[in-house]
Amino acid sequence: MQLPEVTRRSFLRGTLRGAGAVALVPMLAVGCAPERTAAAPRDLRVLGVAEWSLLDTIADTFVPRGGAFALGARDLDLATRIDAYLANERPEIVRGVRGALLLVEWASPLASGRLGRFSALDVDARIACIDALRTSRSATLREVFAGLKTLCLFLFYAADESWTALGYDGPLVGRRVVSP
Amino acid sequence: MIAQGAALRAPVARRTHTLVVGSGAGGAVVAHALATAGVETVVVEEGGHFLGRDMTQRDDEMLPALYRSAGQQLTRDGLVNVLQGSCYGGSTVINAADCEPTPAPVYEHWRLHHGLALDPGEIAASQARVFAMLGVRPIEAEQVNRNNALPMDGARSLGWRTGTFLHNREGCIGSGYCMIGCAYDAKKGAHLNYLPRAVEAGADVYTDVRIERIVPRSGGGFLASGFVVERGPLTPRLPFEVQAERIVLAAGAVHSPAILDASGLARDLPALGRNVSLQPQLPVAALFPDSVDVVAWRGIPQSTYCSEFDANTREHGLGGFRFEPLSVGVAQLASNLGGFGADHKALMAQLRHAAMALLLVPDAPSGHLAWTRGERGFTASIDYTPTPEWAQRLRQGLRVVADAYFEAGAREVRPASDVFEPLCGRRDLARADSFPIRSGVTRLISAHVQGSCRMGTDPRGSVVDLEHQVHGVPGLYVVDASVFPTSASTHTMIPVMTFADRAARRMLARGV
Ligand SMILES: Cc1cc2nc3c(=O)[nH]c(=O)nc-3n(C[C@H](O)[C@H](O)[C@H](O)COP(=O)(O)OP(=O)(O)OC[C@H]3O[C@@H](n4cnc5c(N)ncnc54)[C@H](O)[C@@H]3O)c2cc1C
Ligand code: SF4
Repeated sequence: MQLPEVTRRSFLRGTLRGAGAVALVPMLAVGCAPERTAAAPRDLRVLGVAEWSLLDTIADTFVPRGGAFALGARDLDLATRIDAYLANERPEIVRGVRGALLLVEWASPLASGRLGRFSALDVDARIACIDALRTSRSATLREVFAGLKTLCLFLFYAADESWTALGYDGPLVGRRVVSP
Repeated sequence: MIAQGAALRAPVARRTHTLVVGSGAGGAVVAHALATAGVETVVVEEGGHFLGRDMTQRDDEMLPALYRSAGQQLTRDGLVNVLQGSCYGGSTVINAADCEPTPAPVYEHWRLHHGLALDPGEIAASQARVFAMLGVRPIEAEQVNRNNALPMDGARSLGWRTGTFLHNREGCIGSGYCMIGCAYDAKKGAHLNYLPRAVEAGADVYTDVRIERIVPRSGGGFLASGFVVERGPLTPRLPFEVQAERIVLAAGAVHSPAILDASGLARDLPALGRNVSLQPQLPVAALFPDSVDVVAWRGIPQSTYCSEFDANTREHGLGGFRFEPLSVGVAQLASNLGGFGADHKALMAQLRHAAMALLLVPDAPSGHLAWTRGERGFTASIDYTPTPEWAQRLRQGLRVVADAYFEAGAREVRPASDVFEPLCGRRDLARADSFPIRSGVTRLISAHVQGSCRMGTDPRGSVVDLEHQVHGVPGLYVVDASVFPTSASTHTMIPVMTFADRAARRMLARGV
């Protein structure tokens, strides 16, 4: 069994401190052009609009629309759900996620042999960037992949809307169940 | 009386004879034995109070409610997810209800190598009382779901020994949600037997209260201090103090030593926080053809095991490996399956045809702990590196699990890894020998953290004596999974409860 390793604490240790990414966090606000600002909800609890926008793009790469079933991260507004989830997290975890976003934005293109920012790339290039994190020789980048993957997938498949596609009929509480 | 933190409006300062810190497998049993013997007993529990009616069967709600760090506690390098319950009843509320006593070779190992001359008759009597209280019984054949049956069919067909667990369920409807709390109170954790009976006998229980420090008092006894905490963030709300003649730490193998450390006792206890076993487990999924509907999420999550490769000896205690099917919620499962994007969606769409198991590989106690204390309590740094010998057993075990699944008709076997290509048939089995065990690419879990306050006779190499009393600190005890010198069993609830029953009876027998 594996429970959610959402925003793994190791982001903070090896990952963010090692990479000095926490120190760069303020850059995120100015460094990332918010591509989809219009779609960002007004009542974000933790993330800034630029961070939300980047997370939305990352979530769309982890759980795109179409393929085996239609529903994707954007249909559930997964980035906003993650923002709400982070509101109950320890501040250092939130800082960890911010650092991870930053590494995706700036380091993942380099890791996949591209220049520029993740959020400015086309879909195929973004997939290649995330894949480069997955197979990276750097434990830091692999941890970023594992942490963001868990965060996105756990919250996507915790949502009722995703269950029909899996054939999962959801909780039984409140339903009449016959005891053997 | 059970007082939940939210109901407390003013700082609490109490006196009692015995304070039990932690209400899980160890603490609940001690509290019950002492309270029923007439000892004034207070139990404090950092987590919240939940019963069946509170369980929603949703991963996103129950993991944060019932688990330490919402199930996110990791080793320092992120390789192992160290799971612990944190609620009224501790890990007994969220465990798989498998009841596996400590095997005889482990007791032999402890006697030979750690000086634990335990009386087998006394242990047997304690275990019998625990079994009776929990209502331990065999899982019936008709309660074994397909997820548990399939790989065991494969194993038996290969000539391997398999078994069905004993468990502590009564009136189970097979909903499949044991690991996020039973909504029907059918899984008989300590919150449904030991703790309510302790309360009936006069014990007072406080939930949402964290003890952080213990100070010996000049006139004898101790002052334990901490906070009533806000449920969820665990931030302090109100000061909480208890004066007690005796303190029993039962905060689990990560936090009992943290309290001793924060109380300034580490200097005289060089073994504190050392010799930690995690007994890590590797999740493995197997995809069956579309004609095979596994529907792993329904039924008792874990009911069978393959013990053919157990290698328990008096020389090293638990050894070898075993595999045990286990299903978890779909959200938890999603993050275990390798890959992302369209490929991952394709896998998830086949979930009805997926079976899951854990490969459990007992380890040597090689980990150690350190802690920082902040506003939200202790954060543990768990240092743990699997040994090459352990890694070799894990890879050997992976081959075996995959073989059993293929024998049962699986078309693909996927250990929890983001880089390892699935095994697509017996021709691929040899690739298991190169399975990578590295943080960020492999996902291991631990449900049996043990050993940070090892029991023994020498204060230089252990923390508590054979009575569970901290060396050099009369009246201060540790009674939980911390005390095992090496891994006690492939499943640690019964071993912890058995030791706790023995410990409490010894306290009573000595008139203390
Ligand atoms: C997911 C999972 C599945 C498992 N499945 C099985 C199984 O099927 N069979 C089996 O035999 N074993 C199983 N186990 C293991 C077993 O449940 C544990 O080994 C056992 O419960 C440990 O007992 P304990 O007393 O050491 O700690 P716990 O039962 O974990 O209790 C410790 C309690 O102390 C509290 N605490 C911690 N710090 C403080 C503090 N500072 N102040 C106050 N309270 C504090 C915690 O919140 C917690 O509730 C499982 C464990 C897990 C996590
Ligand atoms: S499987 Fe049985 S014991 Fe487990 S949660 Fe469901 S009803 Fe309760």
